[in-house]
Amino acid sequence: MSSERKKMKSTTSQYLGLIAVTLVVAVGFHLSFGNLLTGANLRVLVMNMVFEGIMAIGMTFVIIMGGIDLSVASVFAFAEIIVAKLMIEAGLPIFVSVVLTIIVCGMIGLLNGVLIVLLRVHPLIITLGTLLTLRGVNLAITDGHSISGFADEFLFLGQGRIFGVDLPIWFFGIAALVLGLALAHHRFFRQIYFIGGSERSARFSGVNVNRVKISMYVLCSTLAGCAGVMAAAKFGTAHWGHGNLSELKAIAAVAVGGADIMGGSGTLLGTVLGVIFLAVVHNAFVTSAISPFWYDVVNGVMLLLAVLLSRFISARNQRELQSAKQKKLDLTSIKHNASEEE
Amino acid sequence: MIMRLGKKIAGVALAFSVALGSAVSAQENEHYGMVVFLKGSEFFNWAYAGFKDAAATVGATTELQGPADWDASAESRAVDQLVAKGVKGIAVTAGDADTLTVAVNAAIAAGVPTLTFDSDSPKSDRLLFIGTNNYNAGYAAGVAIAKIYGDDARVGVSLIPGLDSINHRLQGFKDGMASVASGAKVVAEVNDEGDLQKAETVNTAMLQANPEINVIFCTHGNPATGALAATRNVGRETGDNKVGVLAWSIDAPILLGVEDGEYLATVAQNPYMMGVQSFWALWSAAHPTQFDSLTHPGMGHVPTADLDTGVAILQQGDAAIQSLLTPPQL
Repeated sequence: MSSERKKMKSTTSQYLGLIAVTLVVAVGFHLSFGNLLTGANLRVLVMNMVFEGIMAIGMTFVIIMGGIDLSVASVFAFAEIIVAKLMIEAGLPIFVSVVLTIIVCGMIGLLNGVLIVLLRVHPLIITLGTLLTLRGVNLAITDGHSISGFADEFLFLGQGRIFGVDLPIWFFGIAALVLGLALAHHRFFRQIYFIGGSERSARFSGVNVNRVKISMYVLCSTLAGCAGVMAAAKFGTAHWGHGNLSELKAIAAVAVGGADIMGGSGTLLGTVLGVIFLAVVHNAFVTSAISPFWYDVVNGVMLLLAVLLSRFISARNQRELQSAKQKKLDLTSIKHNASEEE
Repeated sequence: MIMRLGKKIAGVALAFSVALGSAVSAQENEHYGMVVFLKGSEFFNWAYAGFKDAAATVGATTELQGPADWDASAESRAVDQLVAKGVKGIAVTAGDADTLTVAVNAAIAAGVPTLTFDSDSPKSDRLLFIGTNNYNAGYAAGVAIAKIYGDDARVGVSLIPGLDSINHRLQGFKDGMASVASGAKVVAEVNDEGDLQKAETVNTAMLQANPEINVIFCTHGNPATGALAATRNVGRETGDNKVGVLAWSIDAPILLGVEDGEYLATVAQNPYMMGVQSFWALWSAAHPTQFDSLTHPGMGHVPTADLDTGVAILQQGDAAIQSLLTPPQL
C-alpha cells in the first residue's frame, strides 16, 4: 500500500472517529436531556460557533503551512468597529463600508505576513503583537463603548435567512466548500502542505514561499474580517470585547479536526468536523445544565487528545516511511551485489 | 488500530453521556437560566447563589451560563441557547448594553420572560432591571463619609472617567455628603484606568499634591488596593494624619482589610439579593394570573420600574462582613 493511501486511510479513520464521538455526544445528551436535536436548538448550536468556524477556515491554511495567527480575534472585533464607524459615523453606503472593512482586514494580514517573512520571527510573536496592538486600538477608537444603530439592510447580513438558513451559516458552508476544494486540488494552495512539511525543501524546489505565506495570512485576516462584519450585523452592535479568545477556539477546532499543529497536514473537512464537535459539546453543556465551569476542561482535554493522536499518527507515518526507504535501500544493495557476483 | 481507538473513544463518550444522564435527571421541574459575563467571578457567584436558592423554595431548577471573559456576544449566544432549550425565564447581566438587545428581544418575542440584573440593557424589551442604583449607592457613601468626618472631610476620588455608572455614583456621593456636612469637599479626582498599579501611582501623586486630603473614595471595585498602597507610600496609613480609604467591593481581601482596620469602610452591593429578586420577578412573569401584564401580554405581573437592591456601608466589626467572607454554595 502506498504511503499516500495509508495516510488517507488514517485520516479517514480520524474523521470517522470524530464523527462517531460527535454523534454519540449529541444522541447521548439528546436521549438523556432532550432538546439537543430539535430544529430550533440545532440552529442555535451552529450559530454559536459559526464566527469561530469562519475564522477556523483561514486558520487551517495558516496551520497547515506551519504558521499560526493569534490576531484573528482582534481583527474580528476591529472589523465590527470599522464597519460601524464607516457606516454610522462616516455615513458611507453599506456596500462601500463592508468592502473597505474587508480590505482593511486583509491589509492587517498582509502586514502580519510581510513582518513574518521579512523579520523571520516566529508567527506566534508577530501575530501576538498584532493581537495586543489591535485590541488596544479597538479600545482607544471606541473609548470602550459599543457602536449601534445599523440600517436594517445591513442587519440582514447577520440576521437574515435564505431558505430558512442564517446567512452566516451559508457563508461558512460555501467558504468551507470552495476553499476546501481549492486546498485539495489547486496547485497554489497545495503548496502550503509542502511548505508546512519542510519549508527549506519547498524553497529549494522553486516554491515562492514568501508569496504563499503572505497570501495565507491575508486570507486568514480577510475571513476574520468577514466574520466580524457579519457578527456586527448579527448582534446589531460593534464592541471591542466581541470575539474575545475566539482565536483559541479557532485553533482548537483546527487541531481537533486532525491538522498537525506543526504544519504539513490537515484539511478543511477536518476543521469543519472540529467546529461541529466543539459546537455540539458546548451546546450539550447548556442542554444538560451541567456546570459550565467544566466546559473548558472538556474542550482542553479533547484538544490534547486530538494533538496527541495527530502526533502519534505523524510519528507512525514517519517510521513507516523510514522503513520503506530502508527496504528499498536493502533491495538495491542486494541487486547490486547480485550483479557484481554475476 | 485507529478504528479500535475510535470505537474506544465512542464507548467512553457514550458511557460519559449516559452517566451524566442518570446523574442529572431530566428537567421536569420549571427551569430558569442566568447568564453572566466573567463567569466564575465572586460577585456573580453570589448573584447565582441567590437565584438558585430562591428557585429551590418553589422546587424550580436553575443553571448558570455565559463566558468566563468580558464578551457580551458570547452572552447573547447563551441567551439564544437557553431560549432554544425552553427555559421558563432568563436573568442576564449585560456585558454590553447594546449587544444584548437583539437576543433579549428575541427571547421576549419567543414568550420567555427575560430581565436584566446588575448591568442593564435599557434599549431592549427586558421586563425590568434589578440592581444597584448607582446614584443612590453613591449618596449612601457620601452620607457615611460626612457622618464620620463632618465638615472636615477632604476627599480625593479614584475613578474611570466617562462611564455613566461612575458619574452617577460620584454625583450621588457629592450630594449625599453635602446633605449632611455642607463644609465637606471633593478636592481632587484622578483617573486610575481601572488598573490596580495605575491606581497606586495616581493616588500617590494625588496625596502628594493635595496633603489636605483625608479620605480617598474609590468609585469602583479595582482601585482600593492601589489607594491603600498610596497611603503607605506617603506615610499616612496610620496615626492622626491617616488617610481613610472607602472601597467599593465585596471581595475577600477588601473585607478582611476592613475587618483589620486598614480600610475605613467598603460600599457593599448585594448581588445575592439581585439573584433572589431576579428569580421572583421571572417566576411571577412566568405565572400569569387573572389579568396579564399590561406591558408584556401573556406574562404575569412584574414592576416595570427598575428595582434598586441598595448597598450597605460596611465598617470594622460589622456582622455582614463575616457572612460575605463565607463563599456561597453553588
